[in-house]
Amino acid sequence: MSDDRDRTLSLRVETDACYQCATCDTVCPIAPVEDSFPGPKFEGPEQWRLRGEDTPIDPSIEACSNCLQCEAACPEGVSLGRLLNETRAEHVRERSSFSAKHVRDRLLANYGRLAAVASRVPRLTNALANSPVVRAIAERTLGIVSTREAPAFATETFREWWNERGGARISDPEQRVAYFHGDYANYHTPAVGRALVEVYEHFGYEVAVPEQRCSGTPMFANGFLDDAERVASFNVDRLAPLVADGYDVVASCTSCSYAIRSEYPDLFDMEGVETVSENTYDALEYLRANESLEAALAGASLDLGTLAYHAPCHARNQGLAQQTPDTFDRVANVDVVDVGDSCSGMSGTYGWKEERYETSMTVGQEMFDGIETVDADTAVTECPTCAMQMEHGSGVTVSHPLELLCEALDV
Amino acid sequence: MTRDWDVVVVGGGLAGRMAALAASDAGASVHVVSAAEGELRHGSAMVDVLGYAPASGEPIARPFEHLADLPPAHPYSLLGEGTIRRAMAFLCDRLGDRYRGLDSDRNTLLSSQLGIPIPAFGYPTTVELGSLSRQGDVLLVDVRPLPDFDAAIAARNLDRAGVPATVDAVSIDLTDVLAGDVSRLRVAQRLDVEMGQKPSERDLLPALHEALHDRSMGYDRVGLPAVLGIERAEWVRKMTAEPLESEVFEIPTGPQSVLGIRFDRKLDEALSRADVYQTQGPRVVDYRASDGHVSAIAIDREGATEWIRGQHFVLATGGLVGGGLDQRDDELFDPVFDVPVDGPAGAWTAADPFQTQPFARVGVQVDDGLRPLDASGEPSHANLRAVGDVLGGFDPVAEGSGAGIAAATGYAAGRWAATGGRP
Repeated sequence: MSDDRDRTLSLRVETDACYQCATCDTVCPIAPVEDSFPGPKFEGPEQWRLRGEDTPIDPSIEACSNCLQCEAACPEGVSLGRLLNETRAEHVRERSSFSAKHVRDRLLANYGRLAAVASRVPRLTNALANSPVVRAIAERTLGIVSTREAPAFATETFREWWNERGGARISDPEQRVAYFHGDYANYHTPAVGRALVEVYEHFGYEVAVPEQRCSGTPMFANGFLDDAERVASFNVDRLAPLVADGYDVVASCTSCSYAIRSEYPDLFDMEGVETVSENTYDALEYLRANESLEAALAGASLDLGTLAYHAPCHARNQGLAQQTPDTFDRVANVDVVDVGDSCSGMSGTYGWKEERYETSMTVGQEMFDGIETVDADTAVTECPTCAMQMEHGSGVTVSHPLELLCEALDV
Repeated sequence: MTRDWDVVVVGGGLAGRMAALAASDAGASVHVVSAAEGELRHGSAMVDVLGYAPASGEPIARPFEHLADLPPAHPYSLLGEGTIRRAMAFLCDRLGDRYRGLDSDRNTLLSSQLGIPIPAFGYPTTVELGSLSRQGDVLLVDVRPLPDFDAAIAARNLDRAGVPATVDAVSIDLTDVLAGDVSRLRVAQRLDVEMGQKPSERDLLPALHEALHDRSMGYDRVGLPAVLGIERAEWVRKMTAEPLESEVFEIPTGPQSVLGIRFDRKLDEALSRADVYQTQGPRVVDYRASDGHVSAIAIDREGATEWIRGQHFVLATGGLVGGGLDQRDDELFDPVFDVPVDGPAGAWTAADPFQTQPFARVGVQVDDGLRPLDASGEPSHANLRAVGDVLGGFDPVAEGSGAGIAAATGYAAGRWAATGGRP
């Protein structure tokens, strides 16, 4: 039996459970605004069930942003994530690898590689990345939108700070966590990583920062499953021994935690993947489950007024949509207001693609409207690229809940 | 958070959401744990109390007058009329001005998509003009290539049922403008989008107008399958009717149910306004109890377990279809708290598929405080209540009572849990 046939058969486990109720289509943020996108029911179950052996994947899959609201909504527990990832990967395999789109997507998906080099000369990179000439060329040749502001590289990465600091300051074999910071917190928002370390040490945790690669989220979203498997394998190899040693894995980005706990075991058969998945958490979720945060925050105050909160789709998919407003509910002088259950439209690299920019902004409109209603100029979310969209569309300054928590606990 | 909630609700359908809203309204902190998007999105969005007479099975106009005919263990008998009425008034208030009938005494007769007259107690404003007891001439319209609704069949069935109105039928063909969009959901979404566009940018609405304009002449009311927008439904309906000389109403459909999606969203908005905390996705896998009290439930987050503690618990997981009841060998059980579930005394099914089915009545037995009973007939846990379809002793299909039972038992359990009312 060929590999292709084998994979198609193994996907039958998912497609057979689908009875076409179309709940997935009712929650998809893209389908209502993108005429060419028939929705997740078609892209996932139907393509794998009904497509003839010689029929190529329908190119409409490129319009899927991999938010995976569909997977969270499915009453039969069909892994839409797995099906859509396989659809995307098949489409990318069929597409010419010399097309500009392919090159652009590969670059975006493997952004961490570029970032590793760029971050060595942060000032130069920042100047270049926002130079109108460079951006115009990037848009013309690669289809990367020039209207968005490129995320700034920090002058000191999180890992540089961590090493400079001399690593962990608390040692406790009874409670310890391994921090998965991902590329974004490392290169762009090291303050989030620093806040995580400070907060976890405040509660007496030993923190480890293992060697790691990108979680794979942008690779899944762009259909480069081989790249995703490579980084997943790297990460699982580093995390599995720590888990065996009693560490739990915590991530500050909800797309990173979602990739490790849900996409890895769904898609990859590798040693240790299940145990790593089962012991990975969102950093705030973990504290809420294990520490008496309410008591710790009693009497706390944050002089920030009203903050607009947006729940990232990948937080929603983990059942964490309301954790942030709830955490700060009892903190004085701050009001964290949820601006609604819509998708930000950014979806990682999606909103950077020239041909998706308009869709991305249309999907985001509900969130922009929500932020306007709340009338806040500051905001909070777990996801760095949702934050990018909030800043771009609403002009707000966005923090991460861990930064707020660090400030509220005064550590 | 290692927080102790006043009320923890397991299940996010109508019953669970009513329990959450009622408990929150009474001042309790509430956490709702639900597995995925539920059945509300597929339902008709009609809220029945009792559609058919318990003895004869005939459609009835005044549901409250027939409550006395129900058996003593029926959930309505346990609650009493006052609680049912208060629940409907509460739901009416939470749904705002988009529903009719919930504060009345009467059922209204509406048409199903097959043209079967259906008694409904509460119903969305967009279907109101479809009431079959009104006089006047009605034109039913089916839209090609949308599936499932054939106006000619519906009109013929309504005529056969002898409704007062004169009902005619017509087909309009929007294949050109709908192109690949052959689902009601997509049509509704497109109409929503067109509300935000300039008239010159719209194409679906003008096509609808053109197709309806001459054909609807002389009719008082025009009925379309429910596709008139999701977020902007009233506006879409108004805009659809604008150039016509007739009123426009919607006919409820099966899945994909645009009315169901709107109903689901309305309730979700009410939960947000009420500050109810929701965890959607993870399943409940375990619970802790001591001294006859449930103290916590465990949810599974992709293999990681999290405990949620509470003072009171409400089981609102649904029936056999919703996944609230499960089966091993020939035994039924509730997979969350493992309270016993009685099967039918005799055969599970009736000989004729169109007869009332004994299995429809299976479910958890409760006392008059809605607490599940254990094998000895005593409440299994003092602070656990069961609501909605997981309950036994009623037949939602034959009685036309499913949404009413969900709303009324959910309301009562939520309120009692929050206030320490009825045991």
